Amino acid sequence: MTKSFFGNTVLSGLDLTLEPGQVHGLVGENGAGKSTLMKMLAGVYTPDSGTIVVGGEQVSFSHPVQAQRAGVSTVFQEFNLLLERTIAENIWLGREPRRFGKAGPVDTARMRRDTEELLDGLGVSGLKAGTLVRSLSVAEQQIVEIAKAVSFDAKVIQMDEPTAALADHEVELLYSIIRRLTDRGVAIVYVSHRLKEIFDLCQTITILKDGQHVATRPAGELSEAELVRLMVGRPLTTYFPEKPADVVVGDVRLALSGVGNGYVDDVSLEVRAGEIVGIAGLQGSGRTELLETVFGVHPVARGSITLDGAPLKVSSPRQGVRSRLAFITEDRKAKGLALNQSILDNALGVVRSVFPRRTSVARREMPGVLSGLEVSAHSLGQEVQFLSGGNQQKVVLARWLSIDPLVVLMDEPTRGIDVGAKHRVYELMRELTRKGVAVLMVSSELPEVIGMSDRILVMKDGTLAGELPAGASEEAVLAMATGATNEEEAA
Amino acid sequence: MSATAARTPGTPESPRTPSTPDGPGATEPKESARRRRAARPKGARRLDSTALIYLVLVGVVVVSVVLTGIEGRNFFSQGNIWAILTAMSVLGLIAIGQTLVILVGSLDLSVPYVVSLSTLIAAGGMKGLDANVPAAVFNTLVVAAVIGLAMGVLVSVFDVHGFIASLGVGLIVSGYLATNYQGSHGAAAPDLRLMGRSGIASIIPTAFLLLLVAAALVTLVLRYTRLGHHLYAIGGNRDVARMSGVRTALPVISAHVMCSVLVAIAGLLLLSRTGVGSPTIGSQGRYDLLSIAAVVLGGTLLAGGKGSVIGTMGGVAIFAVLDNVMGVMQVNPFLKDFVRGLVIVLAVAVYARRSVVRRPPRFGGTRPVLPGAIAGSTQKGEGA
Repeated sequence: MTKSFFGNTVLSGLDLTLEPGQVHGLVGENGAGKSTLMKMLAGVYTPDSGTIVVGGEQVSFSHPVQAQRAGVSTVFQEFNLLLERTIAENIWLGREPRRFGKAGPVDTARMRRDTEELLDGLGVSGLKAGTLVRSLSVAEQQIVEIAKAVSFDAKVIQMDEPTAALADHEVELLYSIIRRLTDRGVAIVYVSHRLKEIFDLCQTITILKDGQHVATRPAGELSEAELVRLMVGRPLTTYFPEKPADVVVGDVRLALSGVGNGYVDDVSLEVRAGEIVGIAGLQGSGRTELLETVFGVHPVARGSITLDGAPLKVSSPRQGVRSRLAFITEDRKAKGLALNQSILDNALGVVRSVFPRRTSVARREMPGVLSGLEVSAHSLGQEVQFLSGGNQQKVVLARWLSIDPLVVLMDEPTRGIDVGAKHRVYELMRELTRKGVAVLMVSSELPEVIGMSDRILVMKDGTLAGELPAGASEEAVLAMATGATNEEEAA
Repeated sequence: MSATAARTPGTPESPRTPSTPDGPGATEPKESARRRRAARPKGARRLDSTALIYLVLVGVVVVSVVLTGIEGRNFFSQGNIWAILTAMSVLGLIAIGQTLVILVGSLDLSVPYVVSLSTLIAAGGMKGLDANVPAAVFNTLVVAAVIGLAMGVLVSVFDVHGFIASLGVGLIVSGYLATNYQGSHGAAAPDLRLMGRSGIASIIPTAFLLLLVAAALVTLVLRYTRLGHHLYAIGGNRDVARMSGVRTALPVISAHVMCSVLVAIAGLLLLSRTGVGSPTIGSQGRYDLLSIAAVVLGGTLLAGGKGSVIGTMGGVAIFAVLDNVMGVMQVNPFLKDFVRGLVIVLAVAVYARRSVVRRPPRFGGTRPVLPGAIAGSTQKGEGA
């Protein structure tokens, strides 16, 4: 099976060959062109030039369905599922089997049978064809997506960050499904930021950078460090700005003692002025909920929070803002910005609604703040939806800087933004600490947590599993997050 | 990293292990159980929404029986049941049409004007003669279908939101009615009027049987045809449907055409009772808002993608019973509207709460993350 490509601008001059029964890893930083490549193979985009050959036949797709018919299925990072429909209805959507020929009624019995056969073939038992997708966990929904991809008799299945939303033990399950598929001779394109998975699964690895094909190598010939070097194009150490010497870590700014509610339990922690405390943990370990609780999104049922020694009572985000807490959400597009409003309106959003009297001052200062953050845009009147992820995030930051925060709560501050913007965010965090701001940062990117934090707190199952000093190893953090520490020592 | 790698691939996960993977790190079962309970709402088993609607209906009936009894009347008298079922049939047909349109993610605000228009076309065509019935009915339905087609095309091809498309088309029809008809017009054929009075055993009116047939047919369409499946899919998420190869225009158009035709049939039923075509009968009945209210009360999501005709029928029945009992008690009309409004708002508030609660917990749920173990080696699925 051969696939050749000759794309353009975002992606150029790439040749990719997929072997049946093999897992082909596709790695690269954000914006390297992985998604573009996948979308071309999936029939979402049409390549400007170049050809795609499946099983010796040249094909061209202008619609995802054509790609699926040709044997190329894709599991996108965002699920394409109807929450209010059953598993079977989702899988066979658009191709429902019918009784009595073409005009007949939908054969629901066969749909159910085929679905269960399909799930059995993947080694999944216990999922019922008639279950509503809404009631499934993220991992189960992921399985439905994969089953749907397989149901087209796929020769090639692309998976985009399939583990992004999965907990650690669920990843194992995905691995076993992938092995079953490769045993059947399916070729898998596997995109992931998690290098461990790439090495666990892939036989061949293709590295992309800035839309260019860097290298394709057998996995056995690559070390992790080498892979990172190829991806980033520079050694990892210069990635995070040095902790400036003049930062004075002051008194305790934010303190939680025994805080608990329906999402987190018995969390006690302190963040001092000028300190960056990182929170690591698996997806679903309650990290986001902890930040949301501090900010007032979820009520505190047990325990107490103090800010600069005084009790902090917040029962709504508005009160959080009034207490000069800033919350940079992980879901910038849904919760952080009004996408169809201008940069200026977004940047002034918080001040305007919570501290209206400061608006005119903020408006005067805002152009300076934005250019200080290196936001690149035509004008401040541009709608934020047309900005890149990095620039959007900078607008979010400007929005919160305008309230002169005492504490900045950051949830995945660099998710989905390019390297340059990442670097700017890191620098900003350092600048904040110089001003005595306390920073509490949640991140799934371990290097980020390790590289930026003065101390690292690890969450597991809604509570703190422990604390690690700055510069702890990724292994130590992961071990604590998965609860594998004891297991390790015993072994 | 090595710690996680220690977990060998293919290790069978216990189905009863929620989010604590393994290892002695996962102690304190009592502690986590408490947290889990805190994270979960009370009442593990949850009623399905259709069951809830019918439970509410039963409650409303019980209250009505009592209140009617206090007035010294019998709720279950032949006349009263007949009145309730008759009241249900017109709103019911319209609400079934509205259900289709709402399911696919659109809306139909032209309903009252199409009702009025169809009484006028039918009455004008019949001119009080039985011989004219087939042609008049045919013309009425065709005109309604064309109106539905127009709205469907506007919504699906020109991407006009259903709210605006149907509002615009409704206003056009309303303008046509106002300029061409000053008062009642034409006359229903005697046969049609007879049908309006006929029924089984003076309890079940023919009109209600017609409603049941329509409800059954539409339910079959929704459950067992591709069209039905695709209506749900498009209403649930148009992009997902399109990405799955569903042609999105045709189902939207079909829903609008079916809706308008059902509305026209409702108009014919009204005509069978009033005997003359009227340009204002639809707007007086406020069928636009009432039908939407009945659909929403019946558990259909206003955003589309979820709902059923059976639920809508429950919603229609609740309104019919409420109206009936308030009529018996001679409640003043403003209070009637107040009660209707209260019921709708409360119902939707309850639904909204339920749908929030029904989201799977983010972690520590009482349910295992995967109901069945996935083993790398053995596989004995449960089959069908």
